[in-house]
Amino acid sequence: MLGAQGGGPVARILLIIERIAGVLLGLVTVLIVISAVGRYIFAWPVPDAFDLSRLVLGVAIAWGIASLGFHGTHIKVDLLAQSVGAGPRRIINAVAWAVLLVFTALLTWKIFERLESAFYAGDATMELRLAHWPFILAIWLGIVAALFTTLVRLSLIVRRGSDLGEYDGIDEQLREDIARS
Amino acid sequence: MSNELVAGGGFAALLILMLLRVPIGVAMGLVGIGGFGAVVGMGPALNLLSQSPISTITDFNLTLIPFFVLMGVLATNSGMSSELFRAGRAWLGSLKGGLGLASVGACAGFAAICGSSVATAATMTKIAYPEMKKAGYPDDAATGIVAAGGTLGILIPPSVVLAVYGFITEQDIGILFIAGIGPGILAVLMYMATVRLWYGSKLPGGEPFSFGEAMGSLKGVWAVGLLFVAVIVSIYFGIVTATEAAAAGAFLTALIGLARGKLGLSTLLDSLVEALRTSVAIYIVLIGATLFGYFLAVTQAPQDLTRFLLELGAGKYGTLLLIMLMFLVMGCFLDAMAMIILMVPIVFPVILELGFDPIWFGVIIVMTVELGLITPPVGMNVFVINSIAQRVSLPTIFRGVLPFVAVDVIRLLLLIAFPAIVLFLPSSMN
Repeated sequence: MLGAQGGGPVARILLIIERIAGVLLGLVTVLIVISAVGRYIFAWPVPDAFDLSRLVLGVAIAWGIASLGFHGTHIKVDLLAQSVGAGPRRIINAVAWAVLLVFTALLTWKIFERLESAFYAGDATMELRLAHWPFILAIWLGIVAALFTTLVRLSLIVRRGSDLGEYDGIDEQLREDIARS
Repeated sequence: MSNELVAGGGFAALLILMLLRVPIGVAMGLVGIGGFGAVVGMGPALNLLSQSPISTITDFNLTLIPFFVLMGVLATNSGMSSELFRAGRAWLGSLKGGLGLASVGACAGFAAICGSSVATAATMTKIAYPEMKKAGYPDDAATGIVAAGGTLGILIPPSVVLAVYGFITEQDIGILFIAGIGPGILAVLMYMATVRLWYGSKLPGGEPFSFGEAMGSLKGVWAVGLLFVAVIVSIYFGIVTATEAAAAGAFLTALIGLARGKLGLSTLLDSLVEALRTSVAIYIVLIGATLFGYFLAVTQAPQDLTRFLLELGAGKYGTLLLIMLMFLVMGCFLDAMAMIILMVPIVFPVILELGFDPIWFGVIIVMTVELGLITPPVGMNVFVINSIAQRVSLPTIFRGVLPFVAVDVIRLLLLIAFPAIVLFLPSSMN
């Protein structure tokens, strides 16, 4: 299965979240294609395609950050961690995820301020005048989820010594294919 | 605290955090905030976090990254690579070393729809390695060929790494893609020559295919041709923007996969999730790079490096060589994408100061990074192949890849001596 590396219910919830975020990525792809076809062939661009696509993709990315916080598939240097034994690796992983937790907490705090300012300033999209703040709220909720998932992974590292995933999802998919074949 | 001290401390902290497995983007972000805070004050530094990350993840210009990643994942999951290999085998398989030539050709074809070297190497190992093994190819040749062929993914457009280079140096991504075509073709030809001239005598020939069979094999690769036309040719003629081309490429790849029954809804959904995960990892590094950029700006570290390198008196090309060596060494422990995002903002002012063309430098540096994918001690492609072809040892794969490393160095020298190989296509663009 895509994903699950311990964490049971959290992994399952995350998979649902990831799928919703993945669908958002798919929708943005379709939106840009429709807008391009509309503009170049029918001289009728989709209103606010520019703003909607970037804001919706931002939401998908923010929720994806929650996924990475749990799976540990960030781009990182594995050289030292892979050259030491299980005990020291557990300490390295714990330190790394504690630092990530601090960074995510700072993000949660400061993006909430950004949400407040977007709400009170009345920022809106260019054509349809859709308010920005609901998108920023969705982004902020993604970061809050990331705070939670990072904490769960940190606790799994400390309590069970679970390792972090490696970057490159395509490779992971291939390994699954090979295991199936 | 002096700027030099902040810069030195910042780089030391960055190195320690990265070695401690802190995600590279997070390490860059924290050093960026800390360094900026040390010079300007922690209040303004922390405020960067309320603007910068949101600006990065909602930047329209960056949306092409997830689209190209998605296109590559969909192409991988819909089996386009096996059709390319079948076609290559039908046309070249009967020659001595024909399966090796077919593998390089298939890697090039796959690279034209997939922007990832690791994905290209992994996919082709799965398809071409067993066939070469069955035909009696030695392990070092079989794995070396796919490891080197895989590196084409990062160079032949669409290339996710080139796109990221374009974003951080504010170069036109469409032009960068077109600039990658000439060196990409040169790479294919030189790799094929290596298969024939270096390995040729010890590689067996295959069964000949009839002309009808060879023509028939092309039916399977029309999708790759269509995608290449839809994406790269439309960028070349300026019909659509690079972002629109990327979205259209991903959309068409999904459509073709669904129409041919190679993709189901479940695989499509899994592909979207895979693409999202890979893209998010890149976005995190980009968020970190933006924050790190403030640190570089206040400490003037790139300017200091420029001054230092120019005062060395190594000359224009000597300095370029030093920079490339720096990338090669860092490639021993840093991911290609992370290296481009971390290092290019630091050395880019030097390149401009020396009067090099930024588009040309983009291709050169991506090729240097590409070398790191197949050179010891890390060589990401080699490790990926080792994880799939587990019976082949790492030293065997590294031995097999060595002739291609030599050829890559020659190709780099050629591109430095003749920048027109990179720039002739971009200069002909409308």
